[in-house]
Amino acid sequence: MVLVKDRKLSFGERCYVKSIVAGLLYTFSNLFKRKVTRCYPEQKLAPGPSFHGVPVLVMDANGHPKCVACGLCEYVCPARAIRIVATETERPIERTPKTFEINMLRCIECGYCEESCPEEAIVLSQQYELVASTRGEMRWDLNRLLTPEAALGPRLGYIRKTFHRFEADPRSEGTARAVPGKGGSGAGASGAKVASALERYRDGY
Amino acid sequence: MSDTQVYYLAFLVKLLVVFTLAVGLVPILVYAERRVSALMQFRWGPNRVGPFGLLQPFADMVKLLCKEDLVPERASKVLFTIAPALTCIPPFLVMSFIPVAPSFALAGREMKGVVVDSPVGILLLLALSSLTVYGLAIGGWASNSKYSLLGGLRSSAQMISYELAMGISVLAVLCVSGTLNLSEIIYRQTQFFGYDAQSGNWAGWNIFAQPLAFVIFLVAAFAETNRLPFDLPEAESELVGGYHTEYSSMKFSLFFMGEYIGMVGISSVLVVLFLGGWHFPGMNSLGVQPGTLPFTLLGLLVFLAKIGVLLFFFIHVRWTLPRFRYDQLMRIGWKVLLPLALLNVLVTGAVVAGS
Repeated sequence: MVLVKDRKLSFGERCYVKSIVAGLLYTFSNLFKRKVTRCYPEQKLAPGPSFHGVPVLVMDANGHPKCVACGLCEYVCPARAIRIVATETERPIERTPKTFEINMLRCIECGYCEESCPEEAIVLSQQYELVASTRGEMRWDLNRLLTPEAALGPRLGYIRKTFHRFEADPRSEGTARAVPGKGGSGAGASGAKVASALERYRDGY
Repeated sequence: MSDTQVYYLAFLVKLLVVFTLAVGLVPILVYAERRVSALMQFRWGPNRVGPFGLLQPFADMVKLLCKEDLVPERASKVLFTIAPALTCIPPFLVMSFIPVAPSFALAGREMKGVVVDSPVGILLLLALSSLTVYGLAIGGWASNSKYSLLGGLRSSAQMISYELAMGISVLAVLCVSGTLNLSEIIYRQTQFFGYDAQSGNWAGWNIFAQPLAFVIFLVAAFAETNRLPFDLPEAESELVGGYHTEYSSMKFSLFFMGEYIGMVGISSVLVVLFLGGWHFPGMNSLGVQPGTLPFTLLGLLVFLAKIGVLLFFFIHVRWTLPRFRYDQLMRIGWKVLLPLALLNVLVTGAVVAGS
């Protein structure tokens, strides 16, 4: 056991004048220091790439979902927020979602869907403002979820770095793993679709 | 309109000015308190309602008015209702004794810058300001709640203890001024620092003649207004809310108003007794003729600026110092301030009698 003896205070210390003045000066200087409060609606948070926002589906350069409707995310989702109905397609991936619905009221933004996805098709975006006046509006359908790769660049880069899943994959070359930012360069009708989706994303849906 | 009518009209205007001063400062103080505390804690404070959040106190008022006015079932209903008014009235009365501006000539008579110019102003002032304790004690007792009762008890014990030191520190000032009339006390301070050439009496601000009395009065003023570090009667960490635990709606806000007007009142007294009232150095050389209305208005502005500084100090201290323990509070009141005040009176008396 350690006995700690209180130091005997001198008369000046017992008057507390010095400490009181020091305290007053400190709080006064605080008046002019930088404030930590963010005035939210005017000053929005710019989240970093590690931020867990609402999950969205990645749109490839031709305006199609990269999703192959394997159902892994639906299975792994702890909140059961995802509903997928699969269908066939003429594209090389052969399988694609007919409907893909995420109930944002249920979604807890845990990121398991993103982690389980073998195709980098579902990704957590940096959107965090989820507002709707009806429950129906909070069930996002395929059209609303589809987001151009360009808008998700930082997050895609982050998960590639973090998960290390595609490094040894020989398929990881080519358009499917295109460098983020070049996703919107498709031509014609599909290009316009990507561009309009990009605009919608930047407007915050 | 006859001269008498003009005189009485001017009197009413004066009354209105002092009343609006007291009431109008409350929302400003509420806003300042919240804003200053926020800035000191690296926050922004209210900045949503109106420009810079200036309309926040009015939004608060609407909110308080719309709240349910609860009276506890076992409370003493009559006393419970009148207690908030009892805390609110004395500070207003105190304000009516404060000479907020120099006098000016109107309709052939001298118009004083004070509502009631009593020859024993300072005594009335001390007597009235101590009436506040009735409101707090009665409110605490009538609520029929242990926290309220403890808060009321604490407030009465604290106010009585600190009133002694406060009164005695004022005594030393009276020794220097030689008068009980508050307007006179200010006229005795119309030099910033120094002696009156003719009579050889001290004519500077009393804070330089009586620094110790000033400090004692200042400390006692914090205790009298129940402000931190002496806010024992409403210590929320110990007593939930103290004497106003059971109060809601407009009754609660009356207690609130009483506290803030009390602050305005006690700052005014400090300014009158120690800081030269409406006087500031070089005031007479500005080219404004003393005894005219512009001079009076200038004096009023100076007075407002001075109480503004003191009110900021009140807020500043509240958000800096922690609360005293109850025994520490009593020890400071009885074993430090009171002997010091007595010593101060003795020394002052000896010096004044000797000169």
